[in-house]
Amino acid sequence: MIRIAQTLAVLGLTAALAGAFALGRHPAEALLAAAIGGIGLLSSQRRIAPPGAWTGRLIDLLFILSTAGAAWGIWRGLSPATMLLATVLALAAWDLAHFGQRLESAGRVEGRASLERGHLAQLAAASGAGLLLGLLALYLHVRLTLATGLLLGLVAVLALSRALFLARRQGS
Amino acid sequence: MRQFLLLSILAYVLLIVGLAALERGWVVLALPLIAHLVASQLRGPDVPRLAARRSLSSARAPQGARVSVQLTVTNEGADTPMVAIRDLLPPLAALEEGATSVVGALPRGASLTLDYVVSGERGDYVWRGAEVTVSDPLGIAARRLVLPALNHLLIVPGSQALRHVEIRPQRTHGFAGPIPARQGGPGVEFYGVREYQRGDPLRWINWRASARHPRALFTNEFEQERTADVGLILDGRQRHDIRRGEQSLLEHSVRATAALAEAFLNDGNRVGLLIYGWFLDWTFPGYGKVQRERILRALARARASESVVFESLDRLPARFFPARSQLVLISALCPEDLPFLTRLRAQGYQLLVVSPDPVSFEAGAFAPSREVELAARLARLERRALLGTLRRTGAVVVDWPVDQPLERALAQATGRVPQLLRTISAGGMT
Repeated sequence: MIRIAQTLAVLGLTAALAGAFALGRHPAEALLAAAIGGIGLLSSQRRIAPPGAWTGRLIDLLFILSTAGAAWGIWRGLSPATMLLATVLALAAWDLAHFGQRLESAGRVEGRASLERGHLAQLAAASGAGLLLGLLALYLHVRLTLATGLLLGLVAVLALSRALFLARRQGS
Repeated sequence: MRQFLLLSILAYVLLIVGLAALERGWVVLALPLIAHLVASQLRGPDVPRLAARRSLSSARAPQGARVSVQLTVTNEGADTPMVAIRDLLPPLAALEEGATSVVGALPRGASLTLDYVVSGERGDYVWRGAEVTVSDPLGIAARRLVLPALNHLLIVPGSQALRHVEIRPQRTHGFAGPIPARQGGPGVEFYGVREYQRGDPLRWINWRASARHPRALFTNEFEQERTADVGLILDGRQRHDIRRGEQSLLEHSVRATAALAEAFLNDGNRVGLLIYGWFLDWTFPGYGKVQRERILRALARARASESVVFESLDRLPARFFPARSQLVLISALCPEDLPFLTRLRAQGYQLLVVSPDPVSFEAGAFAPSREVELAARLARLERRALLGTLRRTGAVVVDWPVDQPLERALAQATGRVPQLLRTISAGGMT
């Protein structure tokens, strides 16, 4: 179930990125996006990429490249909605790949089906919320004053410090 | 942890660069990542309240035995959507069956159990705890902790049973046993003749001697058989632990020591053990099954090690052993050991040296060639000279090729074989 979902996410990501670049007449970027998608598909095959440190790093690298590709697409004037969709799919593929690795590296999985179902439900909710937020941000225009901008900056700094605190707590 | 960091960094890079470049699309790209992070934190793991309990099918097992291990982790706190448990195996334990890790959900009050089978070489194995990783359903926010669960497994050396080892210490105890006590009295072996005393059984009267002396009667005396103090010394110095692939000469010495200890204890003797290596591992002398267990436990922990202090046998404290008792040294021997062993003999100790043959053991590691054969021959000559010198001090030396049963080597060296045959047997290979 997880592997199918991961494959679908990678295919969707590749189609969104490569298609958008191809339609925007950027063949080099389209080829690169297709190559990233191809490697992503290969890495979802456990026989080719068994669970391990290097596979985990490869998955991270593909995710970073996909997100960077989406950002580059926006810079080159492609549809932001398509790039947002590509980012959400890249995030889903990355999440599923790590989840699959965790299950594969365990000697035994207790209640695999319910774990997978629970994870997919959580992922669908989080990704859906992210996509919805992104679309709202794209199509809702709010004019900000300097003070509001500064306030938002402050919130960002606070959120960053909170994130670092949580990261440190998890590390310990 | 790594996933959490990666998402955070990516989201902030997109946000900051988007704001700096006034590119709304980049800020928008950060939103799904932030939503993912927030979702993981909303259902992130609280401080988990878990308890681990491990049980072993046996706390003590002979070498080669399989031991079943069961680890149960119980959730005493709130529901945990996803938990990964990994039992921390002792480094040298080999997993034979089952799995040492499990992933699953752990609701409040529920338990996850791991069942597996391990085996291992001789040694003391310690399980200290189980590693548990509790995470949110997305696996982004995770907490890792080690739950304490202490267990010990002692794998004792296997040994072959020896029927009886012939020793003859100068001092014996008052209890009846199998060791000739150098004193006349009731026994089996003829010891001497003395004048008849009232109460002597008639069948003990030596009629031939009495016939020569018409006015007196003479009685046969037999040698009393008693128990004795036996001190086992296992040489654990690194220099004597020769390795041949996976095999180690020390393992043979350990097994020989276990077999000797068992044989001496079965005969009713008081047996102590000193392992001479990194430090002096002294097992105080004792009798019976409890002492056997103590010795096996000490032998299970024996390791070859190098110490500057105990480089030579000179630091071996002979005062640990009662005066004029029987000492049994299990060592591959080297020429530097000779003066100390000579001194032990001079102090009145009876010395039995069981020496696993390092030359034939090591020669087996090489492909046969003229050079190897020549080197082995030279080493054998040197060893034969060393053992010959040691025998001349009065020590009984058992030259034991480890691929042969110890009992045969002991019988050849200590049995009542005529000296001529023993000499032929020892020198027959030349």
